[in-house]
Amino acid sequence: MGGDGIKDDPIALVLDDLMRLDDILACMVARRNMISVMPSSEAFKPEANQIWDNIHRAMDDVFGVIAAYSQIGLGEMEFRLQDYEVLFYVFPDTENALVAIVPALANKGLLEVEMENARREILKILEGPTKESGASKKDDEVLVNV
Amino acid sequence: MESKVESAVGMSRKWDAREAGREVAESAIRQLYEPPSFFLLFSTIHYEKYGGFQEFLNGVWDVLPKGTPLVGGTVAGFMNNYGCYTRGATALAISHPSIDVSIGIGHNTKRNPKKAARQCVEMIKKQSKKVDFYLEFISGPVIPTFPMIGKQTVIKSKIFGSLMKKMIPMLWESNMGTDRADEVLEYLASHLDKPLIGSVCYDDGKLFKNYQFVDEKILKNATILLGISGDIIPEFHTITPLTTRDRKINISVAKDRRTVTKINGKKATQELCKILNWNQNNIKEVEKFYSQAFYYPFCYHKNDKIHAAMLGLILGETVYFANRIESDELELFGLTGKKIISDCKDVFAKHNRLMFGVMCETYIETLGNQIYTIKDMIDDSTKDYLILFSGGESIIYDDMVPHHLYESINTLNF
Repeated sequence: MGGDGIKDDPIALVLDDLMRLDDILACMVARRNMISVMPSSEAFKPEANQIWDNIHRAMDDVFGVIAAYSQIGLGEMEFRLQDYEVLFYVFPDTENALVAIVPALANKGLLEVEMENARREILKILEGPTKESGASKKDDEVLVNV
Repeated sequence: MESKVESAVGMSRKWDAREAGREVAESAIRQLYEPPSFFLLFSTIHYEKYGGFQEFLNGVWDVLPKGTPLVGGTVAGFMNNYGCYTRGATALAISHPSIDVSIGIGHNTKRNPKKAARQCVEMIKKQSKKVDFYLEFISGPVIPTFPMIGKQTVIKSKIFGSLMKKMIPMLWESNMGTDRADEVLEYLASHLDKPLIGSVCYDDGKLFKNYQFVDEKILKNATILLGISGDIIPEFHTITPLTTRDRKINISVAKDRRTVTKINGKKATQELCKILNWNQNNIKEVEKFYSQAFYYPFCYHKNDKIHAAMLGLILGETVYFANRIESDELELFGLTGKKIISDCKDVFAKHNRLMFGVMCETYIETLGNQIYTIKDMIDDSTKDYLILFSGGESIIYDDMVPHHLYESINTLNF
């Protein structure tokens, strides 16, 4: 598990950034029964491997809900399983989501901000190469490097 | 503010400390026509693992013109023109020929807050410069490492709790424990006659380490005071968007005004758990709820401001608060996303050329990715801005009464 992403895939690089945060134990872009993109350069953290099979099964059920409700504005979902939480940041109007496994007692608000930034980055990548990566008010300002 | 005053917000999301330092400085400086009069620099704690803060600062000085006054420190996150972040670095550079600054540094704030504050004031006064307002950055709390127990915030054992309580002054000696920012501010208020806005340096909420930046130096337990004068007089705004839960308690508090031995005449820990519906016998549950207690703090009023008393440690039968409690009666308040958003409209809807602000880290904890709702408000009203998410907020304005606050939002609007 992990390291299966295509090298230089820009979405995988966004996931790599998330994986560098201490409390992100695993992350991916996924839909029901399918993991679309994994981090390219870093494997899941060992803690996540221990519970992965159970979480993976539960994730598929959650993706059923996402598929049913994303068209009417379902934005985020999460569930807690044992000592872990799984966060789903849905890509609007799709059945896909950015997924992260975090410790149940992690400082979740801080992680949510970076999950949101990652979702925005991925959406920009999906929208196409004409869009700049990063948020800026002015055209000539320096942008975020990913 | 005169049109000649220039401001620029810098930003980097690079992981490598040196590269991030260079980029955050370069992205700010290149927006200015003149060299900056001063440079405010902030970062999240992550660079400690990716090259270290000295390298981060070296990167900044690869770009920043030599001699530029620089102050700042680590924060839980920040919100600026570019977005909301809990990982990265940001800066605010301001330039105008009329601006003059002086810097004061006080060391060992936890060991001797009064002495640290006095060092700051003396340094500022020695420079004999006019000051119109101050910015203050102070070392934040560090969870103590207790012998045999390690880093703990909840100690169930009465014997250990009582022993640890006695050790708190020793922790301060080694610059650990609560920040004592309230004591620093009190001294500053009695020796300075201009308004001030302050921020407590922080990490990612783990309370292990935090740093202060001043010129080329990285400091650990310092108070940094920046005195500013010139044609950039700001308006001060402060709000504490808490909602009362209509529940009052009486406390018996020791001479230090932090150690609460009794609540409503009963043993403090037992009564606290009862009031908040925590199962005192389940240490895991207490630890879990303790970490969420910032969302419903006990508070008191001082000069019409709500002062939150922040839970510091549970030491056996005693509850130890992170800041001094200036009342024997406390009221339970709560933090809700709805109230935060509605009160923020009052502060952030006003049009500004530039805004610098400090918000309690709890807001980003509470709102998570919804913090972008507040960013959208500021985007509509303000050209350049930098809001820090800190471990405590200090403000002295209008009536010159010092308020060291938690759960507050303080801004300087230009």
